[in-house]
Amino acid sequence: MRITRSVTVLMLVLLAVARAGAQVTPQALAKLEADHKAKPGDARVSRALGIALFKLHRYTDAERALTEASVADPKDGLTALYLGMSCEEQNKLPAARAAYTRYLATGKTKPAKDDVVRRLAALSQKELAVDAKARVADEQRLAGQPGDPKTIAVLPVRVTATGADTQYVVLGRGLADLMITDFGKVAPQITLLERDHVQSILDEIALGRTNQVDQTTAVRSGRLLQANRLVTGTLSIPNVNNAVFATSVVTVSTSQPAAGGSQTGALARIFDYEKTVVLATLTTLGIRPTPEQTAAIQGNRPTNNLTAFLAYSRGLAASDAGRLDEAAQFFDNAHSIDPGFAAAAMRAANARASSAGAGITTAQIETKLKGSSEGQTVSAAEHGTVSSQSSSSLGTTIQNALADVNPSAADAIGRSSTSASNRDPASSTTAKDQATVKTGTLTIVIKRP
Amino acid sequence: MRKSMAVLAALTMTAAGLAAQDAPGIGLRLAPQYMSYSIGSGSKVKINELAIPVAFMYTLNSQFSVDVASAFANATVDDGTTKSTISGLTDAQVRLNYSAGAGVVITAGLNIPSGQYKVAEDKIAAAGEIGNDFLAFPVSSFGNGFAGTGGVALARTAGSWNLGLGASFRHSVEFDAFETDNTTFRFTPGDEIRVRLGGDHELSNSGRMMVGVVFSSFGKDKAQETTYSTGSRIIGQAAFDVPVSGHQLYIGGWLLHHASGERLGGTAPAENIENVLAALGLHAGTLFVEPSVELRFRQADGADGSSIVYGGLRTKLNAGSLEISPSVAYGKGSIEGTDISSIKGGITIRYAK
Repeated sequence: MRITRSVTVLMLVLLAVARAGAQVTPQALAKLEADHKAKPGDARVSRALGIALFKLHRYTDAERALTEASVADPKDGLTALYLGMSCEEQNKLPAARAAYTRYLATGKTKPAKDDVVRRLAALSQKELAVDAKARVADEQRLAGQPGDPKTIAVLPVRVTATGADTQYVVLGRGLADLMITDFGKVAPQITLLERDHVQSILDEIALGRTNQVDQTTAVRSGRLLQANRLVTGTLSIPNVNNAVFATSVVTVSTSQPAAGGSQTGALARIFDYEKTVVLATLTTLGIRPTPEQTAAIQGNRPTNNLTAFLAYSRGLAASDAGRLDEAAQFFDNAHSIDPGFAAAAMRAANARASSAGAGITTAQIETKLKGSSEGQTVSAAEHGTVSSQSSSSLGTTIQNALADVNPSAADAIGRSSTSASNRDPASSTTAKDQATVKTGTLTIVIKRP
Repeated sequence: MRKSMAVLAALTMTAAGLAAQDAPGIGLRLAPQYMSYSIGSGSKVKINELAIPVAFMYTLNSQFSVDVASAFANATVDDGTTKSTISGLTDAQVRLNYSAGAGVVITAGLNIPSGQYKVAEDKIAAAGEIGNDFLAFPVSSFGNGFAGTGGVALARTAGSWNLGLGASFRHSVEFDAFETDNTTFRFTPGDEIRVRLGGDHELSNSGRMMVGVVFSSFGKDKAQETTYSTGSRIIGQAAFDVPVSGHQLYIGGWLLHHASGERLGGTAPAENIENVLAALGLHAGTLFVEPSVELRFRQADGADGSSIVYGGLRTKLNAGSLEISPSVAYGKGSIEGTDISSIKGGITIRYAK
């Protein structure tokens, strides 16, 4: 008990010390602000100011300074990272995503980049939820605004089953996912909304939990998604030997449904039926696929194993509910049942990355910079100093060239490594630089005029 | 010596005073270093040097920067029977860099003869032996006379590489090198042309590598009325700086090739000197420790090979705008068949504002 208390106290002290250590003093900030005023277009000064403001939790001001730095030097990774973190702290998620993505291309610190990759995966979920909330809040305006004629949303398939067959209800998410992939084969004739995007809207209007979407609420989701048409589906399973899979195409502006495709038979052949139904639905949508597109749809068989597909669908349901670790396990299960089920492996990796990323904070990403050249730039900014490091590092390249063609004692000071000596002409020409020559005589011959 | 120390202290104080002003782009570096060699067993030859280089950097604006550097040094050579000591200021280098556009810098430098001239006979050994390329003393010369250097450096990106090209021309004037028996020995270093080609590259693991080669061609040195055609020098450099599990690994090396040339009393043989340093910077919270191993070799025509291995340790402390970096190293090896041991230590102090 005493040890626990001591450890707790120690941790609190360390936390306090760590926080105090990271504090940007008013003097440091004032210096950076003065530098910024003196050099308004200087990318490195704006970057240092932005970092200091971020450290002080002044995220809006930090974003402004870092945006300036980013405009002046778009290839600077550290600017992109702090801009991303400043935007994320303000819930400006698309901007954060764009900046983080830029850091992955231009950043220099691998541990921080690894964290950003995970954070980006988690950000996708957060971004969709924020977008869905915004759309619901803006529903009145969106309802009066016609959707893009080419945009189509595929809603989760409504599954009805009884008894032991209720285990198949979850197939609705998997079938929607499969149909979206197939409809994607006729792009660019249609613009398909991603499954996660559709699901986030359904979750927001509290319809996605049961997945039982009626026509009225389906149309509402279509308006919120700004889709022109919706593809809805039903799968009735009175028994596994007699399942009926059918689709409808609903025009959002009129709420009018039109029959898509329909197939009846054993549930085990659901993957065959899905292809037939998708091709019929495309006809209803007024799209005539080319022979190549038809072949691509027919050939798209991520799995033919119903058990694996059931596990995959359970993974989608768990993922939609935010249970990412559980989702990863279901996807792993699907992949182990059918090792050729590549989509399951990919989903498992994404779920794991999202799960890991959800626990990563901006403070954690910052700690990964420690000991790196980018960390030194951050540390300099904390102390009110502008680091000379720039994105392209051409500064270092040119300094190396300068130090060699016009050397000065200034270059050698502070180098931890030994440099090749500059020639001392007088001692080398007179052979006085020979360390093993213990004695010597210098004879000066003066010629008579 | 007292006078030299006072001048150096005044330079340091001036730089520190300027640095204390709230102006951007000021830097000050001070790096006291001590290096000692013991050569042979029994009656050893001891060569040591205490050097206190100081440099002041000032960035006028985004285009102009200037730096001034000099040093106080004290060198001693003691062969057991005679002791040669020289101390005082070295020459000062003033360098002005002008950024003439993206990746183009024009540079001009002056070597101000503030060092030791008319070196007396009893000081010649100490003044000369610190110029030995294998021993690589931090200050290798007490005075080279007035000289001017003009050059240009260019940097460009080529794919994932940054390439740098530099060239310079240096002209030196005659100076009084030594004075023996009331006779002054006049010396004029030959003009020098330097060309440097180098590149650096970001590694996939966030590390960085650098390579470079410097070629120096010299005109004829003139010692009194006699001229000597000294050999050209080529220096090849390579360095890797890579993160390893949150720590930093540095591996760097250089190779100096000195072509055969003429010198007082005969031919200066061609020689090669290679130096490799591996250092691992370990971070543990705010503590930084960097153990290192350094190897140096020399081969020269007509002489036995020389080698020395150093084991060293460096740390780094931060105090406000000051970065203080103490280091120590001990080395052992042989020079042309004779045992050699070495101790070196120093403190680098950097100030940036």
